[in-house]
Amino acid sequence: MISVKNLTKIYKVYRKTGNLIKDIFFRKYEDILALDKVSFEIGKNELVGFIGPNGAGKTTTLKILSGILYPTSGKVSVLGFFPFDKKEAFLKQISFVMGQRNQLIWDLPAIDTFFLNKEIYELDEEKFKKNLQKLTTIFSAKKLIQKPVKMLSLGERMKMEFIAALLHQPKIIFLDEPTIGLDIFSQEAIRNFIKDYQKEFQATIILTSHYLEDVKRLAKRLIIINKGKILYDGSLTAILQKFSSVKYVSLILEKEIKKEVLFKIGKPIVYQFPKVVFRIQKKDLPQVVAYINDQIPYLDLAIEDEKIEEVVKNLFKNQQ
Amino acid sequence: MGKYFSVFTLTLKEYFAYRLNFLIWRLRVFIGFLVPFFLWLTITKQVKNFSGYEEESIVSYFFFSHLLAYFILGTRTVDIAGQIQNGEIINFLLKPMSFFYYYFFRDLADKILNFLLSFFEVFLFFKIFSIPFPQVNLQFLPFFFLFLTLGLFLSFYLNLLISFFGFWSTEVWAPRFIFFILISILSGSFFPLDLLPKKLFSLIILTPFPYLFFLPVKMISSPKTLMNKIDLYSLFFMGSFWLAILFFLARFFWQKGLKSFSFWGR
Repeated sequence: MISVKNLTKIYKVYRKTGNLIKDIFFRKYEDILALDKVSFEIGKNELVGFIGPNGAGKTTTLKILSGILYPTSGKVSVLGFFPFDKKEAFLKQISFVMGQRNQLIWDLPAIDTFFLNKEIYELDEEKFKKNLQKLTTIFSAKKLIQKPVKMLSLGERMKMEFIAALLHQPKIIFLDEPTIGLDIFSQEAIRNFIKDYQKEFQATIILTSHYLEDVKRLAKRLIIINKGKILYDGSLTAILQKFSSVKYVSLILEKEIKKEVLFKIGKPIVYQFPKVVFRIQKKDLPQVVAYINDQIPYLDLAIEDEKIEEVVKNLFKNQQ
Repeated sequence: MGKYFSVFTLTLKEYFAYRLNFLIWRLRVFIGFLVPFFLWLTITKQVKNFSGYEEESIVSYFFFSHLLAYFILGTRTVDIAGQIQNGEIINFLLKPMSFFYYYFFRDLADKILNFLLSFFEVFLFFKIFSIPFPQVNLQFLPFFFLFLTLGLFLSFYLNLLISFFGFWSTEVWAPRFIFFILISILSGSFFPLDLLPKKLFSLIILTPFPYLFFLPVKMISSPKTLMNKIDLYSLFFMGSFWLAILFFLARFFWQKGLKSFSFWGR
């Protein structure tokens, strides 16, 4: 469905020198490498999380895949099309929702944008009504669609954005930071919606987000990108096996014990009686558990993986 | 075509969302009509025949010029440069529709609304001041429609070209302002161009500007005075030549702009 091979994008950015004459007549441009020979494939009905810090190349990738940007080099194929050609048959099968940009007509109620999209995507009356009904029900937004967009809250507006973007039932959806700036309830509503939509319409979704929670809750596959290069492409669970070398051991102590006994395991990262948490190397886990069972009276013991956020953060740190 | 009809109706709806803004805008346009109208009326009252223009023909020229000014020159394409700069244009690029048609139908809504209001304004004005309504020259009506169509399309592509400047520079205001001044002088909105010395008039008539305003107005107000100076068929040929050039230039710069523009950080 989506195939990207050695995709490279270089931006030419104008740099001001501060000298007026030079800035007008001898402009200087700097090349910025946004994507560096990126390759990946995405199949039907996959939901892929694309994560990376600001300027990593996430949005650039989505913009090339949706046909907004022209790639500097490399091959891109989406649904068998070269996206930049912007063929009608291609555009009718995709949708791009950007958390920081809206396609709704600001001064008019969202329903007017929906009617415009009905015409633009040439939807028949029945399909339009059915989809609109379904989408407004999922979002509990039947009344909101009649309110001028400028009078909606950010969360309400985002719901309208989703409806406008999905009325034509796209096969591929690009979601760029769809939950940015939303409160936790709206974030939850959007996440649930994405999950349900993918299930029901068998859509392929690429999601970028600063909130790893979005990706953890929605995507099985994760692509981590930084400085235009892919650092990791695989399952969410495999990333822990591959890059995480630590485990967290939490204990609820039965009674206070000597520090020396506890600290033999290592310096705890949390020590507030009765709770103690140790960060230990994976390879040491059997010995540590055996030592705890043998030497430390406890009420509860829990062993947890390192948080994905930590793993990703370390990945970026190591790259730098 | 249904999609473009929707664009047309939505543009009208947008205007009605800001009715007061629109009415104030019309007031500004109407004042813009009054100034040259009274100036030229005073001149022709004192000098009975000013280079072939009498009171009746000058009234006729400005009557039709007010009716047609914003029908031909009115445009929503001025928004485009800003949309390029802030990335809003992305919304259009993702939709299965022609950007050119989209703006053409948006312009059309703008033109029709402005035309209806200017008709109402001059009708009221002529009635209040008991100025006799000018006669339409029916004999030249086909030429009027021909030059009106040319003017509409030339204005559309010229405006698009100015807006596409936004792909390469953030400073679009200055070229648009110069363009506006050029249009005001060279299209004949301040005075009928055939008042100019013959040599200067022959030069200006070679540019696309007189097609935007002067020629359509002249065709419906007093075409015969122009007929003595120039052949209408050659004018039509020249206008079509400009239209072909501007059409290809607009398409070329649109494609080139899209390919080179980065939308970086937008």
